[in-house]
Amino acid sequence: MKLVGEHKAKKGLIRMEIEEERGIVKNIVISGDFFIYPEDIVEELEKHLVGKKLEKLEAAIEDFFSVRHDVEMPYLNVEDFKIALRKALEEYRWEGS
Amino acid sequence: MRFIPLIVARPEVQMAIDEAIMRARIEGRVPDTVRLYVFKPSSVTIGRFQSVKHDVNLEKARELGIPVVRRITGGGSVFHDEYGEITYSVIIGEDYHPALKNIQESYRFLAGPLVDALKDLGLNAEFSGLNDIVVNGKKISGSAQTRRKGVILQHGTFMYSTRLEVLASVLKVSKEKLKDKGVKSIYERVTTVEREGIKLSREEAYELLKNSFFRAFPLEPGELTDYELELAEKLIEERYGNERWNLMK
Repeated sequence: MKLVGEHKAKKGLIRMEIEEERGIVKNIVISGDFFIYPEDIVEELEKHLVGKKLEKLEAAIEDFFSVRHDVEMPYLNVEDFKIALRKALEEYRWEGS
Repeated sequence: MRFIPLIVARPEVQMAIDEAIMRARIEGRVPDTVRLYVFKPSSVTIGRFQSVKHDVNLEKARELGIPVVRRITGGGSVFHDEYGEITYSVIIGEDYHPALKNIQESYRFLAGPLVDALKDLGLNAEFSGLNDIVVNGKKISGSAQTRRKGVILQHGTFMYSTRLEVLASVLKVSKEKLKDKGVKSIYERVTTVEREGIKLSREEAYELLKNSFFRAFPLEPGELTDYELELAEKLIEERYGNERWNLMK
C-alpha cells in the first residue's frame, strides 16, 4: 500500500511517500520545499531506505544522518524527517494490531 | 565582477545558463557574475525536491501554456510572469565576503540590492525568515541558493507587477503553509510593486535593479563565454529541457 506523511518544519514542508509490500519499503520519495546541502543527499537517503522494514525506518534515518557530517539544513533537522515518517506510518496497520 | 545584461528566454535556457555559469566559475574559467533575466513565456519553476503532482497545478499550467521546470536549488514553486517579474542570479565565490560563509547572512548579502531597490522606490522593504523579502509584511521576492565547491549560486524573484491571479491558479500552496504564515489566501501573503502603488515598466524595473546591483558590487558589463553556452546547451538536453529531470518527483 502507499503511505503518505507531511510535516511542516520551521522552514519548509517535508513529504514522505512510501510504497510498501508486506512491511518492506519498495520505493520511497521524499519531496518538499526545504533546503538541504548537498542536495544529492535526499536521493541517497531514499536509496538507503529502500528494502528496509517499516519498523526500522526511523532508526535507519538516524543512522544515515549520524555519519553524514557534511550535511547542512537551515531551519531543519533530522527530527523533522522522522516526524514526516511517523505521519506516513500512521496510516499503516501493523500486523496483530 | 561580470554583469550579464537582460536575457529573455525560455525557462530551461535560463536554468541551464545559471548552472553553466556556476560550473564554469567552479572551474575558474569565469569571474563572479550577476545577471538579470526574464522568463518567456511565463513559467513555473519548482524547487529541487518538489513534487510536481503535489505542488503544481500541471493541468492549469498546460492549459495556459506555462512550462514547468525544476531548479537546481531547493525551496518552493515560483511563478515567473513574463509581464511582471525579473529574476536575478548571483554566482560568487564564498571567499568574496565573510558574510557568505553563513547561509542566512549570505542570502541577505546577495539579495541586499533588491531591498535597496525597493527602498529607492520609497517602499518599506525588509528581509523576512531565511530567504524572503517583504513589503508591509507581504512577500515581494523570494530567493534560493545552492553551494558547490566554494561557489554559491543564488537566484530569486523581483515581482513588479506579477499577475497574482495566474500565480494562484498554477501554484498549489498547501493550506498548512498559509495557516503557518497566518493568512487565508495567497493574496494576503504576496504583493508586487504595482500592488504597493507604483507602476513600473519592465525597462524601468530592469534599470532599477541593475543600478542597485552596480552600487553593491564592482560590476562590469560582459557576456557569456562560448564555454558557458556549450555547457548550457548540454544542460538543456540532459536536464532542464528533459522530463526525466523536470517530472522526477
